[in-house]
Amino acid sequence: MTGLNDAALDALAARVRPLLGGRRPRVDARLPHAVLVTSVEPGFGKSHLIGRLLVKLGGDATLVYVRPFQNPATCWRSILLRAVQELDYPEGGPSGSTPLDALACHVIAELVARAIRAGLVEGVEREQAALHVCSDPVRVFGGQDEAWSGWLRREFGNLLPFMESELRRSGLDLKALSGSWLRAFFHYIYSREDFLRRTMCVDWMKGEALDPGEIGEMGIRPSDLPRPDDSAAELNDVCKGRLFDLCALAGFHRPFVFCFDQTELYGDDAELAAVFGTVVAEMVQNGLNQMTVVTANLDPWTRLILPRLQLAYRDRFCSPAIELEGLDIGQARELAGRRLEERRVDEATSRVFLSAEWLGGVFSEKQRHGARHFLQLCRARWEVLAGREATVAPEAGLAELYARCAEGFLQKPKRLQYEPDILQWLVQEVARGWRGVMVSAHRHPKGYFSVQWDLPGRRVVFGFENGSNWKRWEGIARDSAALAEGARAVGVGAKSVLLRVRRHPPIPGSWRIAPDIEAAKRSHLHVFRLTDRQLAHLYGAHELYANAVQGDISASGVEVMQFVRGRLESFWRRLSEPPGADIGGDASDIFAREPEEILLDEVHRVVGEALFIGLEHLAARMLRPWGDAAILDACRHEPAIEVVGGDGAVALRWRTYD
Amino acid sequence: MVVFGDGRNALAVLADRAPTGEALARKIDARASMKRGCALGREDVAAWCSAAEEFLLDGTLRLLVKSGRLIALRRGEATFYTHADSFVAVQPGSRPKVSEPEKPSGHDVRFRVVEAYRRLVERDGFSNVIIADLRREADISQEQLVAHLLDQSRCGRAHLGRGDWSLADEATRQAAVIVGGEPHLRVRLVV
Repeated sequence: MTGLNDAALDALAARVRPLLGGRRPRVDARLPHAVLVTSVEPGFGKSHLIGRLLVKLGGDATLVYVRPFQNPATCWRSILLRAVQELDYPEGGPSGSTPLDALACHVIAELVARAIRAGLVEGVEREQAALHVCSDPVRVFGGQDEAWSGWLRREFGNLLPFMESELRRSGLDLKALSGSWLRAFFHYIYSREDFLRRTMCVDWMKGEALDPGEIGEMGIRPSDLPRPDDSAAELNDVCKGRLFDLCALAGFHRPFVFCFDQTELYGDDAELAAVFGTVVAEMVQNGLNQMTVVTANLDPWTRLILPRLQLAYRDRFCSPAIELEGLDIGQARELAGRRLEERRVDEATSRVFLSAEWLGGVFSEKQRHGARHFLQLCRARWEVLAGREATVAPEAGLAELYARCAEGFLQKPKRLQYEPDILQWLVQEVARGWRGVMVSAHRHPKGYFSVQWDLPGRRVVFGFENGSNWKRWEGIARDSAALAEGARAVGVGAKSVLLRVRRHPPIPGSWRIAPDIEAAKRSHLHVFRLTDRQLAHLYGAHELYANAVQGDISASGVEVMQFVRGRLESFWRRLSEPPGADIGGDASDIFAREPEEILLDEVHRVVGEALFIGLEHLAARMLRPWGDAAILDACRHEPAIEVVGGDGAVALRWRTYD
Repeated sequence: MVVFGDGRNALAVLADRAPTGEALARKIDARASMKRGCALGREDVAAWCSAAEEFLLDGTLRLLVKSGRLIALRRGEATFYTHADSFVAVQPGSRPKVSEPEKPSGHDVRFRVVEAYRRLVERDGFSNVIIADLRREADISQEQLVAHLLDQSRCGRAHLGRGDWSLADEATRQAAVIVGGEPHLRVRLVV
């Protein structure tokens, strides 16, 4: 809407501006405060404002959207994971370069330029060549400029000592060795065709425990690797270091904007709220080249969160906060007009709808209304004009709202990343009270497991392991066996559930210890690799709850919890029953069972290649025979595939996303 | 005879004994007034009704909300009602008289409110202040503050915000300003 919250947007942009000026690398670009954006009631457009900020900044900053973390012991892991996921997501389609490519190329280009100027590169005109490599680093070193890319591949080893020394001399206080970062960047850029190696680079940046032998081949120092048997606190500390390293290195390219949204969810837990305050304080104190933005509704912020922050941390937020405004009558007319136009309402009806009398009445007592509230009034008016009685704007039922949330995730694959905090929230908070389950924190010294369920005759512990290091998984399987053994001694059946996603490599893969892990999986270790469709419904549940707690829907958080608990009945049963148990349920129940992974991989591959294919042809192209029903079921679990047609002729279409 | 409802639920009442919406509205208004400050569910109000009156209950509740005698409060999917007087119950006149301050003039009210508002913004760091805090800080009656804020809101010099009713304490709720049938707990002044 013309002018709506422009002042707030300008204020936000002004706050980030000091990070954009000056010569790169910006080694001391630090903001003194985190920015708090508040609204006096829900529906004023906080999230919309963040989206507008991203557009306004264009490619000048990397926005990292951080949902509330659930486990204080792994808070930095959660934030780092989101930051690296954001950096590693291709821009402009699956084969496009990533923001991490850009960051890596900018760091390397700056150091190569220094090497050129120092006369370490022969046969080039120094200043001209230095300017060339810095002019467009992604093009020059990202592979398009074969001459320079090829040269760097050959000479990287020779240049490395100089580059390491220059990086140290830059004044950046990196927690990991400069050489490790440079090697990780180099291998990331030039391993586009080597998925495993590129993933290993990303996992190192995420602070995952990796095999020293494998990562050692890339030259990353063992001292820069967390050990698989490190405690949860040690791993969290490594992640904090990696995050601040990334912020420091962002001075070579563009700053980060970390946006902590849905903060109302911290209001449920005093410890989480306090840790959140510490996180923000540390971001402000130690994070170079970043702006931390916290969005909140004013009353939950002042009554539930602020009092729980240490006094010393409260002044880490800028004052005054940026406060959002409601629509004035002109903006309201514009908003309603647009909606009517989108729905192709004819001009005469629109004129009646937006009569001066009605709008004047709405704005007579109050000159500003929240956008959402105004749209609710519009909906009520529409019903009245259509001849239906509606004194209160009707809202869709929870089932419909839930379906919309899940569909929102399916439509945007970028949002289907691994989010351990949401999964932990589900088994820790939502499952509480399901069939008498007693939920408690499981304090495992190495952080393998963090939540425990006790049911009559059964115990289940949950872990949220993002990494795929064989040594760590060996430890997980061993401790899972010990837990099962301990439970059996007191007459209780037990298993450990590790919730993973399809983007994770299968466990155990081709490790030497694979037979042991497989045996554990048959007995007490349940590695639950969620399909994208399952994940979308789990994340959709969290979004629905966040909407309720933020006041975005009329249902309360408690009501949503009850609703979700019921909807996920078969998920809870899958989690509580022994590995491989059949829990019943029909084909439409996406949590009762999922298609075999090999089948999911095959339909993904074949439909992805064909883009549009009939079911019969798809079946014919599979490497082994599967029934039509099984293939269709697999397609329904794959959000990239759309099933079109009916019982007679069914075809599969590969979706394209914006 | 007057027949309420239909089918198996139908109830026949002698015409001269049949309840009317107006009479029921007066009855609920009076009873709710005695319960001001309380959130009443539909079933609470239904308990005051005869079997015949219950057939008229929903329409009467709508009427009372529309006329401003009752305030409808939504919590999740549930609706509660409270008497409109609940929101002016704390004005000095309704409390035991303890050295009641002299009533400030209109000009004084404006001055006091603006000064109090500035102090609150300075203290809390937010330009949307809690109306109950503003009344306390300005040391004026609820009646005067409501009249002033509504006046300022109409001309765009005050922006009323609903805030979060579920988190508000009793004092905050009682100082709410009702606009469009909804309580507003916060205000931002254009100063």
